[in-house]
Formats: sequence, structure tokens, C-alpha cells
Amino acid sequence: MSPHDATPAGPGPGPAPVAAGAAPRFAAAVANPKVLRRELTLNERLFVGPFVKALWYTFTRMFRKDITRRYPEQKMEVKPTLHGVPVLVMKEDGAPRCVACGLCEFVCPPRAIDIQPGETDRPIEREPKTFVIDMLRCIECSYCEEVCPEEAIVMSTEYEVVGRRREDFVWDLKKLLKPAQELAARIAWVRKTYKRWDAAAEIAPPPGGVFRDPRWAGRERPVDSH
Amino acid sequence: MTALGAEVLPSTQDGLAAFRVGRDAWPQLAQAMKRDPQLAFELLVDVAGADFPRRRPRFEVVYHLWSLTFNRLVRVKVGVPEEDPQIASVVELWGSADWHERETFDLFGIRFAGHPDLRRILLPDGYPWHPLRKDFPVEGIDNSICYVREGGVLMTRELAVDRPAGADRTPVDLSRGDPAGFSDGAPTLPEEGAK
Amino acid sequence: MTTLTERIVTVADLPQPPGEGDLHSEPMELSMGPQHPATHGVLQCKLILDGEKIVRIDPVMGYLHRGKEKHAEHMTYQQFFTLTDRLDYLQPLANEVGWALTVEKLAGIEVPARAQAIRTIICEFMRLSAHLVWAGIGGVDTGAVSMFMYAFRDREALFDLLDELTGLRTNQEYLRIGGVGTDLPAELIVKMKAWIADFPAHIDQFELLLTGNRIFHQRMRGVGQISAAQAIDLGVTGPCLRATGVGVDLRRARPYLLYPQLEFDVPVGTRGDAYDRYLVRIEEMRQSTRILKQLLDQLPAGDWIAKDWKNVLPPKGRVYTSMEEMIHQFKTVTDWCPPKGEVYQATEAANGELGFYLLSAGESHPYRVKIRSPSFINLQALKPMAIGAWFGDIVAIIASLHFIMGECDR
Repeated sequence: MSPHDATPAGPGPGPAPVAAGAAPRFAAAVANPKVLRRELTLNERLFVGPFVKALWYTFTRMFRKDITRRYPEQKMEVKPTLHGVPVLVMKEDGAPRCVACGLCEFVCPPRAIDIQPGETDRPIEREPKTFVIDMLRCIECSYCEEVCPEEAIVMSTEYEVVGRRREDFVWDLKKLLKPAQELAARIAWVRKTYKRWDAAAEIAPPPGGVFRDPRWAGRERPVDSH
Repeated sequence: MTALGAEVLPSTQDGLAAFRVGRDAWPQLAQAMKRDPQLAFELLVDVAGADFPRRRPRFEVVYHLWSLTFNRLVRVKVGVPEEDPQIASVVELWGSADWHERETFDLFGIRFAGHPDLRRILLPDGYPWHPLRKDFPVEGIDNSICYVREGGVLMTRELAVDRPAGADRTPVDLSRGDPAGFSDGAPTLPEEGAK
Repeated sequence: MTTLTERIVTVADLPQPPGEGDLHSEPMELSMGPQHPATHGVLQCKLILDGEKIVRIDPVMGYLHRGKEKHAEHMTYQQFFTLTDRLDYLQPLANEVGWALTVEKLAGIEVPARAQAIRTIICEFMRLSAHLVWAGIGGVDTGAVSMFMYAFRDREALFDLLDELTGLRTNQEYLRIGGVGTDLPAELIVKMKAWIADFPAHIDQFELLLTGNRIFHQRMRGVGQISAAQAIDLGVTGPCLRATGVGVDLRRARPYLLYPQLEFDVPVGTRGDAYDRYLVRIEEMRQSTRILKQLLDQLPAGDWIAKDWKNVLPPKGRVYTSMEEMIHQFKTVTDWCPPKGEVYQATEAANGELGFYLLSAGESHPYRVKIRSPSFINLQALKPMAIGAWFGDIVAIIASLHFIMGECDR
């Protein structure tokens, strides 16, 4: 028994130390595990050496470059991958690109989005009468952006959402609409990323459409029933 | 294992060996699985409850057992009827069953006979429902009431329910998710007999 | 409908200890937590002490119970990723990988090699992230406060890398069924390689601060000891099991992703005490960097999401232009139904076996999801570890067990 075994261990009747390799042979266990055991050296038991070493290490840190940032004076570098809060893309005429299909409303896991669709005479025929995102609910997962078939909702670089009342966090069309130029970097990123494997462009949809892919025989549902 | 009354279930996507056993034969089978050196299932990985409102028996307790000696994982299913939701505890054999069984009791109301300390583990003591049963709505039942202290008197008060935008979820529908035709081929009640 | 009255162990339940001569001590009841900083979240421990010695311990949990398993029955498969993130919030992506593998096994989706490699990379980064927090908090709990700063410095740099990949620092929602959300860009691989080249030196610094530190040694040595047989009986997995000398690692025992092709050692301890658990975790960090180095050096080219027309959202450009793809997009989002069946899939998370038992009725949402959370099961070992130990040791025991209450309460 080495001297430091006499240091306060639990007073209870603990199990006897298992010798290395004494564990029963299990097929589930790896054949040659790396057995770790480390006894303290004399230097470490005397404590002074490692103590001075660790203090010296801490001391040298004082002369290193800061790794922290002086937020909020110093903002973080914004990259197009950043998920800020979702916003709506505004067309040149000031109307939203959104056609109120409701796909983002469906996919939103915390159900932060609420859309009331309305009819319009313009060529898109449908537009949101109201479009509300509750930023207190939003988890910035970007699912809405990924499913949007119109490139109408994208993640902005806005990550500081503050307010005094809960109502301040319920954003309506007026607050959500942002000109497309402001969001150009993210829109470019979306186009690049969600091209998916189509980037290679060598794959075409199966002849006869994806719903008649033979791998899915027996599992297809009629498209027009939904 | 089939000698002890276990019925072999068809293989599912994960390819595990799966067995179904009656409630009465289960303690004996469990004993053999733990103690028999040919089986040697040392580690109880998981105990999961499942609720099939249109099956008889209604509940199922699914055990996943792992034999470290042979590196073999199996699934054992035991049916538990609704009228008498009780099954033998296996705490004596696997210590880890303790909290697993408390959790299953908590969330499904299945009682484990012989468990030394069967009480709720995740939900507060005295909570009246077992929420993972299919007839418990996901919104909860009692969330419109809060307890407030007014002038030193504890009162209940109705709250405006904070319903998420666009969430008009259907209430409980027991016919939903009819598990007929699950790979294990358990009999299911006909449509009219839906509880 | 059963109502159970709370059964609390009180002092009156205990047999009075025999007085030793004139030194008579009475048992004392002490409630530790749920807001005690050393209980790592919201665990409450009802302790009964005889002097400084722990006689009984009753962990009370559920303060963070959010009903994930119930919610899963009402969410689509893709939406449930957002909840798995919040299980073990120190390693959100590793939880996502576990769920993705489960669903893909159910639906029989083949994931391309590059996506698998990216998943393996983020799994190992998550292991590092979880172990770094563990090292930092464990240091604080045992009195080495500066350790916290060094561990979190590295974790910060690690999160910067993941931020660049996924767009979020934590709870990334990065995985998709069939692959991952975005590709791993080449310039990020360079940055990751640079981080990994630096990191082993940082582990040496941690060891300088802790391993050879006599105070730390005395706090951890012989504390919370359990035997291999006890650990297996209690279902303990992960580093806590390996610390008892059983070299069981799911990455080797039931391999998944690219682990069979990778070279790494499985570290084991010999005694199963808190110090062994510390050594195992530190060594696992070294092995993780080794795995990451292999993966980043030979990352396979190819797709990062399966070319699977029925299971994966179609390319964006086609959605904008083609009616069929548009319908496909809507169908995949709203009505993606894997076949009927059941699957149990486990992965080696930082704390042990993270398993998902999924029962599918062929609908767009799961019929039943059971999360086998390692923290919940490992926490059972607290009882045999703590009983008979000194009161001061319970902090070291909790620190060395390292459970995450978000995963524990689900």
C-alpha cells in the first residue's frame, strides 16, 4: 500500500481495488483497453514543485493576447452562416415575397409563426394578411428558411433581440419585412447550400416522377389527395 | 428461451432478437436470463412502457437486455392488461430496474409487484395522472389553474391558457395511431370496439 | 388514477445509532439542492447524515421534466431534432446523431460517406465539449477554480468552430434525416485541424493543474468507489463503467457511423473511484482528438445528404421552378411517413449509452419514443457511492459522475 492510500477515503467498506485485467472477459469489451493508473511522484507529493509550476503557468497567461471580446462595444464577426432571427424578404415594390402557403407555420417546432392568408389581385394571387413571429418562442433553427418554396423567409444576422414588454417580441409584417439587398449574403448562402446534391447536376428526377420511383412501390400515396 | 414460454417475434428494422412472454412466465424467464451462464444478460439496458388503447392487453412493457459476455442485445415484451396493470418487478435481478420501473409506473401507471420503493420519480408526488397514456392530452389537463396566495389564503385561479400561435391541436383521439399491422403481429381490436 | 402521498425518509425512521461512549450523535436531515451549485442543475438530494457521514441519500428529480417523450408523439420526425438537442445540452449534436440514426434505421435510409464522416466529427467534438465542461465544473467543485477558465476557453474556441459550421453555438439543429444540414467547408477543416493540433498541449496543461495536484488527488482518490459488478448491475455505462475496469464502449461493441474504421484506444480505470473517472475522461479527450485528426485528414468527398428523392427535401432551385418538386417539398415536410416498425438504436454519448427506442405506426409522427438517457441510469449509482462517504465527498462524487439534468429528467 502506497502512503497516499492512507489519505481520507470513504470510511465505508468500499470494494477492494480491482487489479488490472481482473475484470471478467466480456465479448462486448474491447480486447486491449488502455489501462490508466497513475501514482503521484515524490515531487508531486511534496506539492511545492507542481504548485509553483501551476502558478507560473497562470502567471504567464497575463501576457497572452486576450481571447475574450469586449461586448457590446465590440461586436462579433457576422458570417452568412449565422442564424439570427428569421425575417421576411421584401420585393422591390415593398410587398413580401411570401405567398402564405403556411409551410413554415407547419414546420416551426415551437409554433412561433402565425399566418393569416388573404387574396390579392396581383399575379401571386395570395399573400399574408398578417404574418406574426413570436421571437420569444423562436429557437432560430432555420427550418422555416429551409422549407420555404419562395425564398421568402430567411435568417437575418440580427441576434440581439431586446424589448421591454412581451409584446415587443411579437413581430408583425412591418417589423419583419427587410429589403432583399440587406439579406443578399444570406440568400446567396441559401441558394448555394440547399442546392444539395444538385450541385453535381448529374442526377435527374426518376423517369415518370419521383412518386413512381420503383423503390417506393406500395408506399406511394396519391399526390392529389392532399 | 422459447422453452420458458417466450414467443419469438418477427425481426424488425434493427434486427434484434425479440420475444414476447406472458405476464406469469416473465419472472421465471427473467431469472433464467440473468442467471443462466448460456444467456448471461448482465445489463438491463432499458425498460419502456407502451400504450395501445385498442389492444388487449392494453399496455406493454418492453425490456432491452444486453449480455456483455456474448455481446448480444435482445428485446422482451410483456403485455399488461388495463384492468390490473401489474407486473413482477425485476429489481432483485438487475439493480438498474429500480428507477426504470419507477419511471414506467410514473408515466404509465403500471405497478411493479415487489418493487421496494414504488413512487413517482419525474412528476410530483400526488400528481393524479399518468401522462404517457394515449388518453392524456399533450396540452396537459390542469394547466388552466394556478395556485395563488391572496391575503394569506391559498386559492386557485383560472388562467388564460397560453396557447401557441396556430396550435389548435385535436384533443385525445384514441383511434389515432392504430398499431394494427405492427411487425409483432399482436391482435388489435376491431374499429367499432375502439375504447 | 392513483394518488400517492409523499414518502419521505425522516430521522424518526432510522434506528438510533449507538452512542460511542459519551460521544452521542443524532442523525441530521439535510436537503441539498435543487439550487445548490454543486448539484449541476436541478437535482435535489435528501441526505441523512450521522455527523459528517452520509447514512442515507434520496435523489429527487423531475424539476426539469419537460415531457419530451409525450411531445415526440405529436411532432414530425424532423421537428423532434429540436427537442433532442435539449436533452444533454452540453452535447446537443451527439443527441441529434442518435435520433437521426434511429430514424434512418427505421426508414432504411443510406447515408453517404461524407455525411457519416461529418457526423462522426461532430460526435467527437461534442464529446470534447461535454468533457471540457466536466473538467471545468469538476475543477470548481473540488476547489481548482482556475481550471474552469482554461476549460471554458477551449470550449469557447470549439463553439466558434461549430458556430461557423451550423450557425448556432448550442442547440444547433444541424442534422437532417439522411445527412446533415450543410457541408463542412474546406476553410473550416483547416481551422479545425489547427484547433486539434493545439488541443493536446492544452490537455497537458489540464493535467498539470489537476492530475498531479495533491489536493485534487486527495479529494478524488478512493471517493465514490464502485466495483465492476456493481456498476453493471446498476446499468452504469460510459466513462463511469470504464473507470471500474470494464472496457465496454458502444463505439466498439455495437459500432455505428465510421467508428469501425478508426483507430482509437478505450481507456479503462482500475479501481472505479472518482479519480479513475477523471483519468478516463481526460484520456478520452486525447483519444477524441486522435479520432478527429484521422477523420479530418481523410474526409471522404461526396454528398452531405442522401440522394434520396422520397426522404430528403429536393434541391431548392428545382422547388422554385418545378411543380412536381414543389409538391414533393410539401409532402416531405408535412407527411413524411416511415414504415411501421420498431427500432432501438444506441450511441456512445459522453456520459454513456444514449438509446432511442422508437415505435412507429407508419404515421408522420412517432407512435412512442423512449429515450434511454445515460445520466438517468448513471445517477442510480449515486446511492452506493455516497452511502458511507463523508459529506464533503458528495460534491466530488457528483462532479465525477457528471450527469446532466436536462437529459436525466427529459
